[in-house]
Amino acid sequence: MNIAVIVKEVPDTEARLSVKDGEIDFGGVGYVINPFDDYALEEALRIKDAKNDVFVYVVMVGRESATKNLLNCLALGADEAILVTELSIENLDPHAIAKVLANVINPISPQIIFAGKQGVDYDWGLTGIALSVELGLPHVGVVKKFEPNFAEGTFRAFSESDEGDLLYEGKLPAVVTAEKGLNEPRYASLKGIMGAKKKPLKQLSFMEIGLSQDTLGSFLSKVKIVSLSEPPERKPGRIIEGETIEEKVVGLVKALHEEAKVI
Amino acid sequence: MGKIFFFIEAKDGELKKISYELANVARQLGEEVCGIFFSPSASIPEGINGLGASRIFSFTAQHGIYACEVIALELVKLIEMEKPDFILFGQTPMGRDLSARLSATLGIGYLNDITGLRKQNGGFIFTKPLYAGKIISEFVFTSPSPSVITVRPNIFNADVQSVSEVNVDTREVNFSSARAIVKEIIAKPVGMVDLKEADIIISGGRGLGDPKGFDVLFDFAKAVGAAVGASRAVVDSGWIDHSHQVGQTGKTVNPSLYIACGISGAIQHLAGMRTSKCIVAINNNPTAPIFKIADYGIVGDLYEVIPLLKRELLKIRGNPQG
Ligand SMILES: Cc1cc2nc3c(=O)[nH]c(=O)nc-3n(C[C@H](O)[C@H](O)[C@H](O)COP(=O)(O)OP(=O)(O)OC[C@H]3O[C@@H](n4cnc5c(N)ncnc54)[C@H](O)[C@@H]3O)c2cc1C
Ligand SMILES: Nc1ncnc2c1ncn2[C@@H]1O[C@H](COP(=O)(O)O)[C@@H](O)[C@H]1O
Repeated sequence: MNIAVIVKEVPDTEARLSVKDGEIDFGGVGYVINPFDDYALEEALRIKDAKNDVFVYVVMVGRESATKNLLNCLALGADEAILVTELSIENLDPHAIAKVLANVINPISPQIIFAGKQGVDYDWGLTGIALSVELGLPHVGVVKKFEPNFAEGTFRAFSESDEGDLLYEGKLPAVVTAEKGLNEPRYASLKGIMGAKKKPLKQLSFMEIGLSQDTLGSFLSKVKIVSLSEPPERKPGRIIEGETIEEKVVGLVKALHEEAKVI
Repeated sequence: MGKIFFFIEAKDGELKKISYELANVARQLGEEVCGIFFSPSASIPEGINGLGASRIFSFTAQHGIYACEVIALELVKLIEMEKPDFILFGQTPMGRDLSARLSATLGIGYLNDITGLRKQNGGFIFTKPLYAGKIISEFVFTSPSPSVITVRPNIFNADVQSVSEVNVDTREVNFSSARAIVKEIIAKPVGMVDLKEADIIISGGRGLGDPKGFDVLFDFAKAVGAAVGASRAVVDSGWIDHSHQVGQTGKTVNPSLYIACGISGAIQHLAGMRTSKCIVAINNNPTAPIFKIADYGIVGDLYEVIPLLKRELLKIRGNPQG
């Protein structure tokens, strides 16, 4: 049985970003696997650990330099990584990424496709769901607990909502997008790191996955950025002084009421 | 000219604040504003006239509570019939889920979590924070309408605009074909204020020292009508549920007042709360980075500060007993 995990690279969450000449300056910024995708991969690996016939694919549409992070996915326990690279990927929107991913994932026929609930870059939260539409599958979003039943071809999942936790029931195959708290991702073991180099890490172009120039033409992004800027700096604040804590608190409440007018 | 649909959300039979906010955004985008409402029970919330939409499409369903795939297909039919320019949702759990599936099903333009909009040359430009608010972008749609937008809660005005009569067009959706369906909602304890809609948030971090520290925060929150947030450090330690986490891998919030207690101010935490109108930091370490972005800071032990803060806040509201 196959499971696919789709992962993307995002700038390290520690990174400070700035805008130079109307473009984001990524100079010196390291890239990591999107934090939510760590939970997606871990969930697939737990299923693999618990069953013996599971093959876990990790699939990414990304830059060539992503092989380093994909190698780590293999070290963690994935069986095969597929990286689709193309110069134009910077211009693809999530709908287009989903179309590319569908071309890779269709022949694999996975029972489950795990994705992150959103990329912490543009926060689209769209690619996993768009992929489920491309594949003609249902999806369950923002999952914090997942219980597949492969014998029956069903699953139960829990997802958060404003009203409380939602209990989902559904049929496999399905796309599941991972929320933090789904599990605790593991670290790669030394053995895993050694073994990773022997596992397949395939790099494919759009042509190689059966996408023609014509289809690519129809992938034009439906939205366009017209400006980029840095958020306004917050005005420097002040420490409320006082002889006692009580004095400080009284000063604070006065400031909140009279200056900030928020209470 | 310009038909705009917006997705109404309600909780416990009452309209959520985001529903009013969406109605106001819709009025900025076009003249004819129509609501879409989904509720398994078919009960239209109180005060629906206050949204200023004279037409409401109300969807009801039996045999289940929610099935995204099925509702999205119904919305597709409605959109193909009615041809709105924009379909608006809140950046809420249901709004995110449905809007994404809808835009993918129709293959139409999608912009989510918008925090601003302006008119230019007859079109609209939308503001969307990127990289957890480290960068602010402006987007336009390059594809023909309709387009799908989700709006960040607590940003746009929530003014009530009444219409005398609302025409409700009720349709039933059939969940029997659904391949993923919500069977049950495990309800939250009542009286909890929603983080995303909260006007005041009090958040706790590792400085609480002990999971019991959250009792102090919940006590404060109950007294002043605030919501309780948390840093990732305490969520990962199991002191409080992830649904309270604020930050890059938690929730993005923008209350009028954010009170960070025993939180150091890591960049990933700031990502989730930096757009709060006023930030207060309570920390016993005067060099904690949180003071750099706070409007007001108190250097001191949070356990001393919070009870006094509760007392003084209630006093200023003329409610000393709490
Ligand atoms: C990929 C990634 C994603 C992340 N996402 C998030 C996220 O979404 N949200 C988030 O919050 N973090 C996130 N983090 C973690 C973040 O980097 C910090 O580790 C975390 O925010 C620290 O939590 P803290 O401030 O509670 O703890 P600490 O950094 O340990 O700070 C505790 C503070 O409490 C103060 N203190 C101690 N005792 C008292 C007292 N009695 N009274 C008053 N003050 C006291 C201390 O001076 C200190 O400043 C993420 C990290 C990564 C790598
Ligand atoms: N280029 C990509 N390649 C593979 N998976 C992706 C890609 N972009 C997004 N994803 C997946 O879709 C999820 C949501 O991403 P996004 O729609 O960009 O917020 C991510 O957490 C990944 O699991």
